[in-house]
Amino acid sequence: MAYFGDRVRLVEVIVRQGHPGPEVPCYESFEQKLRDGYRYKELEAIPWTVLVDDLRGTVHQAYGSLADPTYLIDNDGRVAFYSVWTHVPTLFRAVGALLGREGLGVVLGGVDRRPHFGAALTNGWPALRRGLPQSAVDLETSVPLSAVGSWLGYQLRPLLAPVTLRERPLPPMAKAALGAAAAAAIIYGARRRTRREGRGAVEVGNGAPTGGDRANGAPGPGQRAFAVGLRAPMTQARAVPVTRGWLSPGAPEATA
Amino acid sequence: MSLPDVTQHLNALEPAESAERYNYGHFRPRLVAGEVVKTVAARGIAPGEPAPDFELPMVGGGTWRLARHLNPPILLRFGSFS
Repeated sequence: MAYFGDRVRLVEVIVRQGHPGPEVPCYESFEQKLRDGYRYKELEAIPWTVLVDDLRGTVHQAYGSLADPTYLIDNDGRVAFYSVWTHVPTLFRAVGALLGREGLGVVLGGVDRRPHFGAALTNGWPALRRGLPQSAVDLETSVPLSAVGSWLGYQLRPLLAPVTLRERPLPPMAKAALGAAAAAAIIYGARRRTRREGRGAVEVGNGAPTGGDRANGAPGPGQRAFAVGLRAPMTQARAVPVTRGWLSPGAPEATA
Repeated sequence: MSLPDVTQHLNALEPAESAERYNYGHFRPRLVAGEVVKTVAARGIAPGEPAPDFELPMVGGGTWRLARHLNPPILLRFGSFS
């Protein structure tokens, strides 16, 4: 938001631990939280104002206790806009629209509730890393592949950052190009998968599916083998006892 | 908006979580489900409504109160260390 200079003020409130772990346990005192506020500002070299909420998260809860929100407050102290999942390019547009209205009123319909995870995917790993291994295990068991995705996104940061961490909205042509590229990738992947499955059916079924009671639609041996061949990898993937080993039933649960 | 108003606003949103429940020890699926609900419902201060005033300690010393810093517009972000 450097573009707007001192025409907008950025303030951040430190709330509860999002992904607790051994080195970043859930807060039990305000002093812990304040210390993390200092660490955060120093580690991330934050130039803007950083505040620390109380232990109960009174201000965070008053503002809806959302996971990753940013509010735009107008000159009159009213909510002009808020992004449920902070999305900088959308906020950039909202700030521009608000400044165009002399800093008063609701802009861009007032709320953006679209789940924007691009920035978290690209830049979320450093925060998640602070709570390893628990933070990653908890996240992975709650939202499969998200911790792995976060790590991978961070590794691919140089490639992804120009799109996911951009400050300004993409020009319409760039959006269209990205959309076309995504659609082409999906179609290509689907076609590859279809071809592979077609080959798999021939191999597993030892030729074209045969037999079965074609009159009443019952599958023959070849057809059953084809179905099993398709299902087997998924069944194996789901059967990995992730929750048993990773959740550690004896781990202390701080929730009431 | 004064601090009692903040509490009133908080109570109007939903029963406040206790400090123990608010500061969870493990990220769990129930939190994901809660975030989905909040996202769909766009839980938060409705656009056009007054932003609840508050005063909090500032990293680096001193306190910061919202009502004293209006104009220019404020981007108020809620973030976590982890």
